Amino acid sequence: MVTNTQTQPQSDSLSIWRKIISNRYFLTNTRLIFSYIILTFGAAFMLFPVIWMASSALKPEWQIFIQPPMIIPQHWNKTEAGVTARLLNLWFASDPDTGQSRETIRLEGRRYSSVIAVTDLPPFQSIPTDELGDASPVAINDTLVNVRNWNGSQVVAVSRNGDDLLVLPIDGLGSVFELPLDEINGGDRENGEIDGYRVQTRIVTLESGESVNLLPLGPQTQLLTMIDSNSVADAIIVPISDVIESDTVAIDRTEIPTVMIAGDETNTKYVKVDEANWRPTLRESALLEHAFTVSESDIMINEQLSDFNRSLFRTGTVVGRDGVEQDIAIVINNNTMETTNDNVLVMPVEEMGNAILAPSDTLLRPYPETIRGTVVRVKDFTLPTVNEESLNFERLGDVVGIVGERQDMATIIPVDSITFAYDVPANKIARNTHISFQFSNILDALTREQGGANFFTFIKNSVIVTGMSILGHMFSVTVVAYAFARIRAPGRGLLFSVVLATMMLPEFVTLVPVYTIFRDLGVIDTLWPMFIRTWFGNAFLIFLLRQFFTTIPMELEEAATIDGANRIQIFFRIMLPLITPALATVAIFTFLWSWNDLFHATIFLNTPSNYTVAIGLNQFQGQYESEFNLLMAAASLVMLPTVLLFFFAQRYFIEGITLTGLKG
Amino acid sequence: MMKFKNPILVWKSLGRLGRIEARDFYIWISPWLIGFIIWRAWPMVYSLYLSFTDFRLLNRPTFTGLENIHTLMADDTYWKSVEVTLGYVIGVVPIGTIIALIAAMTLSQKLRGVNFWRAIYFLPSVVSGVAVAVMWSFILNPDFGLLNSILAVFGIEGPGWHTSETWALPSIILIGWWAGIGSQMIIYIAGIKGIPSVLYESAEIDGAGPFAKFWNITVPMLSPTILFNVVTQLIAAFQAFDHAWALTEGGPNNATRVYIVGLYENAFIFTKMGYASLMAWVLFIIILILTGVMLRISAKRVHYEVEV
Repeated sequence: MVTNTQTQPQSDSLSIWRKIISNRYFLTNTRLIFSYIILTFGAAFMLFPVIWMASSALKPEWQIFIQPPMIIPQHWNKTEAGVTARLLNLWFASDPDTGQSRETIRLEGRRYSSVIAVTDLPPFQSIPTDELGDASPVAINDTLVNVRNWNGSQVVAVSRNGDDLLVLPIDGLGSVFELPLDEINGGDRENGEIDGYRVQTRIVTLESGESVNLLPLGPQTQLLTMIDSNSVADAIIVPISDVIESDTVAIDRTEIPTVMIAGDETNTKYVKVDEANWRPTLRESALLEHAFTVSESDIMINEQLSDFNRSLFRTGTVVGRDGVEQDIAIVINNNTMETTNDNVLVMPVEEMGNAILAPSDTLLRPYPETIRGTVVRVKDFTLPTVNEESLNFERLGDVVGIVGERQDMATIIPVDSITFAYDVPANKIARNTHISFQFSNILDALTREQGGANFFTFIKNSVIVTGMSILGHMFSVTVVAYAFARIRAPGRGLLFSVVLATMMLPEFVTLVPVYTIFRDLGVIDTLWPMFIRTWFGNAFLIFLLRQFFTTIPMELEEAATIDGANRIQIFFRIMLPLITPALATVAIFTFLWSWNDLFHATIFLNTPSNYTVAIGLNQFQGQYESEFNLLMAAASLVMLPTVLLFFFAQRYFIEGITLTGLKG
Repeated sequence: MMKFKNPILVWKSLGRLGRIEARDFYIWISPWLIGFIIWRAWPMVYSLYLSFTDFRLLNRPTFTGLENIHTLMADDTYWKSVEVTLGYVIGVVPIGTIIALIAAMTLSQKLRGVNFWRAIYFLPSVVSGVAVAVMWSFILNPDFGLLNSILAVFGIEGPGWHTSETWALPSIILIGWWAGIGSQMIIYIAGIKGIPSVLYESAEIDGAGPFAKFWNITVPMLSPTILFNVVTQLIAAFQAFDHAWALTEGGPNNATRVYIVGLYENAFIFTKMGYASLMAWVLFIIILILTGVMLRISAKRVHYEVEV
């Protein structure tokens, strides 16, 4: 009956379809719609890589590796952990009770597993393993269990029984619940017998104090502990070695592991929010003034490390030439396997007062400076100063030397300052970000050093090469094309067919001899080989311009000759102005060829200070390693001039290509 | 073909003005003429000679006869690179041509914003080959590249692309399409625009459908353009360098060692200049023969409109 009622309108609509299809407008319209669909897909393929590159060029590094990918560059909102110089990432997590989304800090998560009390168990069944379907997680009571299909019914596998598996019917699992994995594993093992099967269970003491015999079901789920983002205002920094694991504390309904500080008499409990690598630094001015170099063998080294404002240094005593003993701290130890030189850079202990720890991620990309014959990596830095209980930022720009050994420090907050905390699954939290383009990537990419040069050098070289090439072609091609078009001479036809033949001649055949010529001229690894040949014409462009010259009416030239103009005057005053559009085409193609020329740059240029952008970018690839955002910024910069040129001068590109089949 | 005449007689036959003009001509074309001799003619001859020598750049070339040819025949890396090059050419040229033709057919219609669409398709042809390779290396990155992320959404575990021996060449071919179809498309559009609309109109009167019109009018009328494009693409594909070099430097395990990469390495890294010259000449001859064969085979099939 149901099918019958539907048949009638279907046949109606069929006849309507027939009418539409036979309609002429429909035909053209479908063709157009189809065309637009093809075009859109094609355009996505052509354009999206470029968009992706440009967007990645403006992203911070962490976003490059994010799955799923983020298309629009975002900035991760951060909060300052008190006065500790640490910035912590903010997350959005919804409160499981109210569903309200709150700004939180993420702590290390806790693993959970679903369990069921032995007393609540439905009867077991033993089933051959190969009769069971694949497991898929299903929520019962908000608790995930791995459900498998068996002969049309749903079961949960619990334990192995020889070649069989013990399963429970899913209907009997109403009292399943979740417990932290560490609590389950902390319970005593119990090898019991249930329904005649041997099953391993755990006896766990629940929060209520009740001791229960539990059967773990799985799967394990990772829950993340999210805490109030305002609670980090009282954060302090301590060396990881001073942190002692303590018990857990319940905040709301979440158990949070706490830590204590070794030797702290107040027995305050803290929560660790972050662990990071820090480096001791010293003001460069202090290093320049007081540091000196001694041989390591001349130092009486103290066993114990000394603490200067939480920065740990090895100290010792050295006897000066005047026989006076001086206490020093070793700030740089250059003693490596490769060097026999055992010189170390030291500072008098009394000058160590301005030593300060800085988080390593704020010291990225330092540059080398030589102080008393020792290379110190230095960095412009907003220097933190020390107050009694924490490291505080003094918002002053300064140059610091990165010295001493790295130290692992933990950022901890007192438990009391946490107002709320809850556990959420990893897929229920979201980064707290805002759209932001990291334009500093561009400057970073431009200024990144590579063998004594940076991108500014490459751009300068490329500008010279392309500029000289454009001038070269402007001169040689116009002059030669004009002669082929307008000056009659025996042999002209023959020579022009030679021009056409060279269009077909691949350049690589002449490569080795051309290289030897440049080598004999002593210009390898200079910019000369990159442009000098443009001053001798180019077959494609000569052909192109000759076509333009031949379209100019003879009468113009004849009239000028009668007026007494000579050939040079005619060329400059009459011919050149008339072929300006063609000149633009010549300039544009020359620009493209020179700017994009990787092959010749690879052959003729060896040192970075002579690189053009094409080879500079190619050599840069290895330098960036994982910094794809900077690499994309560099690639975008290399593409940008040609893209801009294309948009402003599209007409000339298309003209040049259609006339001669030039490749872009 | 022009007949060769005795130049002295020709010179004498010119009047005074004619001689001045002829002298002017040779002065005006002298940049090209000198350049042709220095950068083209002499190097051609010299590289042919070098093909039969041992030339290590620092010493003078010593004539070794056919030794380079024997080495070439026994050079496994060389044959691998020939194989890779053929694979690349076969991958890039035919499919690239078809894509470009489809794009050109679609964009020769009266569409909204047709210039905008054309610009999008053409844009990749103008940008630097290195930048293109760098960009694609990021998209094709096996671990966190965009392509594999998209594939993962559909439950497909993407391959290692340019880092895998199997997929490196297809990756380069993909980039070849991306960067190459724009300029071909422009030429096809010009060719299609040049087909007189009268032909289509009369075909429509005869009751021809869109496919009949395509096969019986567009394809034959466009055949010279197609031939031209295919031949130039073929020549260009044999000389491909930028993408393969910037993306993989010919690796992994020579999987993308296209001919010019091998030529470059032999000439400028191993400085076997004589050997590299031979490689260059062999490729030149291959290209010449292939082009000749192409033109020969297509001579019967390509329709040239003689009366225009």
